[in-house]
Amino acid sequence: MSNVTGWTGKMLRVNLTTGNITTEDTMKYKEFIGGAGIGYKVIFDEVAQGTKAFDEENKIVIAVGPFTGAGVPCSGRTNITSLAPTNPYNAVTDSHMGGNFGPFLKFAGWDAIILEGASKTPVWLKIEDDKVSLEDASHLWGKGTVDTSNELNKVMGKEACIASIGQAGENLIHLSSIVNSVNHSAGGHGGVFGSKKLKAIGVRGTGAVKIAEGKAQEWLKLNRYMMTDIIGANNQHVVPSTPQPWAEYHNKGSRWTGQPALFWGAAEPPVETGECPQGNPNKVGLRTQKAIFDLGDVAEDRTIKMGGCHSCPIRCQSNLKVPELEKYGLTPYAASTCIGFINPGTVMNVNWRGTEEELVIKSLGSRLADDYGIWSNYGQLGRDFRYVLNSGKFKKVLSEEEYNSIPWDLAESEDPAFLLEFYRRIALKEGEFWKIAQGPYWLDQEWNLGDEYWTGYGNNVWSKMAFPKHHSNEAGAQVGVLVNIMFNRDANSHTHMNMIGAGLPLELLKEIAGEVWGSPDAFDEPQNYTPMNKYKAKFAKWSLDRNFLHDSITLCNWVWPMTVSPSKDRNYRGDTALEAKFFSLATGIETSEEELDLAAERIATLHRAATIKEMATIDMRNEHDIIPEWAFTDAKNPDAKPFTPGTVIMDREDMQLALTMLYKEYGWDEKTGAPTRATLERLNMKDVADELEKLNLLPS
Amino acid sequence: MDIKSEHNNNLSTDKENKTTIQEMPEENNIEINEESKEDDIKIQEEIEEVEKDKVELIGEYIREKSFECKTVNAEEFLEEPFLLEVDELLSSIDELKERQEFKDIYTIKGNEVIYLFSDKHITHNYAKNMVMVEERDLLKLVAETVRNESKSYPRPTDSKLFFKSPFKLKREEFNNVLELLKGEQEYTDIKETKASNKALYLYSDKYMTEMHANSLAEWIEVESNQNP
Repeated sequence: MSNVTGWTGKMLRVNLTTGNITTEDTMKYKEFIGGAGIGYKVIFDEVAQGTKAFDEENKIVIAVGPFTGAGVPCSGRTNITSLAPTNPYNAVTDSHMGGNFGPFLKFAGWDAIILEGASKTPVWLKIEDDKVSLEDASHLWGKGTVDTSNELNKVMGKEACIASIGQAGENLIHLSSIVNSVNHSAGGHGGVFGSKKLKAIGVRGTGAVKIAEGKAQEWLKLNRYMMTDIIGANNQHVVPSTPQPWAEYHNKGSRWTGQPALFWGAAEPPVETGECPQGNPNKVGLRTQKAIFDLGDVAEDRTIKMGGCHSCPIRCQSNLKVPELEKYGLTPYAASTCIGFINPGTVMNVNWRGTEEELVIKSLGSRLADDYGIWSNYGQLGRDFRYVLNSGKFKKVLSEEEYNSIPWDLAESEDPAFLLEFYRRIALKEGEFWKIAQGPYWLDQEWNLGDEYWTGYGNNVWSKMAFPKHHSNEAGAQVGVLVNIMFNRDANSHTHMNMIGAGLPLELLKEIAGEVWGSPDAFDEPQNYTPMNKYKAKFAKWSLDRNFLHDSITLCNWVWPMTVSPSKDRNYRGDTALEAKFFSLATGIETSEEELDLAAERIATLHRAATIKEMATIDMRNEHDIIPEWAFTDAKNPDAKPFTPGTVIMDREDMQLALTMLYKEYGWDEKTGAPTRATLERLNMKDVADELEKLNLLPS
Repeated sequence: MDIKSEHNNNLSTDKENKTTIQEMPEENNIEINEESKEDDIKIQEEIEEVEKDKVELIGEYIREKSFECKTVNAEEFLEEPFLLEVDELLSSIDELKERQEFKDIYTIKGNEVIYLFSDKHITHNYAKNMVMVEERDLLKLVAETVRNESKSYPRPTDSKLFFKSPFKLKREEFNNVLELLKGEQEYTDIKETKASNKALYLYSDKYMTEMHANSLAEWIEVESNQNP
C-alpha cells in the first residue's frame, strides 16, 4: 500500500448499528477507479435486492477518486452513492457535492466511507486523520446545516470540513440533501443519512495527496498546458458571451461572461473581470461572472467575489451581498450557483426578470434550502409546486385548516416571506404540504396528479422513472434522450451539453465531432436534427462514459471533458486525453485514453447491472428506458414533423433504433438493453454476471 | 534644423473600389539654421533612422493601436509624426504586408479610406465591424452580422447585440436601421422574429427558415432558463 499514489489506499467502513469502525484496502476497487465506481460496486455487492432507501440494510458510500485533492483543475467533487428514495424502485443513484469535503477526506487519508446499519440515537462521525469516532449528535438534531457546521467547527477547529443534513434529511423528506461548507450540496440522499440517524461527518486532514514519484515537473507542465491552452469557462464554454476584439466568436448563452467594465462590484475595491483571453492562466478565474448569468445585471454590484470548489480555477459560485436578508433573520450574504437560485424563482414565479426583487427572492430561497437541506431536484420542486398550485389541487389535497393556514397572498404578491413558509413546512414535515417534496412519482401516488402532469410539455417530468429531464432532446436530439434514459435520477451528465453549448460555429463543431466520434454526422445543427446513425450512438455512449468517469475519478462534469478549447492556434480542438494524462501522473499507472474509457464503460455497465438487480427485470427497453410522451409532441408547433428545421420532436421508430444502437455500442442485449455475460466478462465483471444469473437477470 | 511640411493628400476609393491617390499641390518649406551643427547631425540621424525603417514604425504603431482596440485610418500616417507622402504610404503598406514579421497586420478597405489592424489583438470580423461602425454603414453592418450568424452557428441574432461593442447603436438608430432595411432590395432576406417574452431577433431567410429561427429564439430566451 505504501507505493499507492493518487489514491490513499484506505477506506473506512462504519457500522452505525454496532458502532464498529474498520479499515479496508481501496485497491480492491481499483478497476472501478473511485467515487461512483466504488459506490456502485458496494451497493451491487452488499445491498440485497428489494432493499429500500430508508431501510437499515441500505448502505451509503461517500467516495472520491485519485484526482480528488491532488490538484487537478476542477477535481473538488465528492460522490455519494446509495439507493434513491425518489426513484419508483428505489434504484441506485449517486449525488455529488463540490466544496472541500472530498479533498479534506483525502488529506485525512481516506478514499471512501462506507456507512451501513442505523444508529438508534443521533450521531455524527468525527474524522481527524486516522482518528475516527462516532459522537453523540443529540444536541444537533433539529438544527439546520449552518448551525450544525458552526457547532462542529467549534469542536474540530476551522480547518475541518463539515457535511451535514438539515431538518429535511432528519424527517426523511425524499428531496433532501447533504451539505458541506454551508452551500455545497449533494441532492437526493439526505434522507438516507436521516434514516441512519447520522447528522453529520466532520473531517480534518493534515496529510497530502501524493502523485507518482518523479512526476512533479511533468505534472506542472501538464497543468500549465491545460490552464493556458485548453480550459475555457464554466461548462467548458470557449467563447465569450459578448463580442470582444480578441475573440473570433461569441455566444449570448456562454458562461464566459468576463468582459471589460464588468465587475465584482461589492468587492473592496471592486474587481474588474476585464477581457480574459485564452493564454493567460491568471485570468481563467475571472472568466465566469456567474452572478449576472444567473441573476441578471443587477447582481454585478452585489457580487463580492466568485467562489467555488477546492482546486477549481473556474469559480462558478456567486458570493453576494444581500442586506435585505437581514429582514428575515439571516446574515446579509448569499452564495449559490445555477439551480440553487433558479428553483426559488420558480416557486415564486419571478424568474428571469432581472430585478432586485427577484435577486432577493432567489438569495433567500437558496439560503433556506441549503440550511434546511432541501434538494430542488433540478428545479422540479418549484415546477411541481406551480403545477399543483395552478391546477387548484392544493385545495383538494390539503385539509381546510391547513389550506387556510398557508399565506397564499404572499405567494401572489411575490413577497419573499412566502419562502419562509414554503421551505419550513417541507423540512419540518408539517401537515400534508411537505409531500410536494417527495419527488414526482410519490407525489403522484399521493395526490393523483393525472396524465397531464406526466405528458405536459414544459413540466419536464421524465416518465416513468420520474425525474426531471436534464439536457435531453433539446440537447443533441437522440444523443440527449439517450443520455437521459440511462439514469435513475436526472442525468447529471453535461458532456454532450458542454460541446453543444460551447459557442463555436457549426462547421467547427462538426469537424471536431468527426475527429472524436468518427463522423461529423454525430453532431446535429441545433433544432434541426437528422435521423439516428451509429455516430450519434458513439457520441451518446462517450458522453455517458465520461460522466461516469468524472464521478469516479473525481472531476467536475460541468467543466470536463475538454472536447473543445478556446485556442485559435489549435483551431479550437480540445484534448480528450487529458484525464488519462493526469491519471498516469497521479497514480503512476501508465494509462491510455482508451484504457481509461474502458474503465468508464465498466462503471456505466455496473450501474446498469445494479439497476437491473433493483428493478428485478432485464427488460430495460420497456421498463426503464421509456421516453416521455412530451418528447413526441411539439407544443410550439403542433404540426411539426421530426427531422425538419425548428423542432426537436422525436420519432418513435427512430428512437427505438437509437436504443438498439446504444445497446450495441455497449455490447448489451439489443432486445432488452441488459448487459450480457460476454460483455460483463469482457469488462472483467464475471462476479456481477454470476450474481445476475443467480437472480435470473441475465439475457439468454 | 526646422522642417516644415504641408501635405494635402487624400487616400480614397474610386467607383470600382480601387484605392487611388488624389494628389493635391504640395509645398515644402525647409529652413536650415546653421547655428547648431551637432543638433542637426543628431536630428538628421534620427530622420535617417525613421527613413531607414519607417515600415517597422508603422507596424508597431498599428499594433499599439490594435492593443487599445482601435483600427488605424491610413490617413493618420500622412500627419505628424509620420508625415508620409501618399506614394510612400502606399508602398509602405505594401511592404508591411510582405514582411514576415508583420504578417499580423491587415488592411480593410472602407468606403473612403484604408484601415489597418493587427490580428494579434483584433480579429478580422471584429475589425470589419469596427470599420462599418466608423463609417456609419449601419444597414450593411446589421445585415452582414445577421447573415453571418444565421449561416455559421446557425442562430437568429438577438437585437440587443447591436447595443453592445463594437456596434454601440442607440435604440433610435437601431430602430431606424430596421425600418430602412425593409425598404432595401438587397436586404430583403433580413427578417424579424419574436420570442414569447417579446424579445426581438433577426435572421436571414437565405440560411434559416422562419420556424427554425423562431424556435431557436424561444429556446434562447425562454426555454433554456428552465434547463440551465
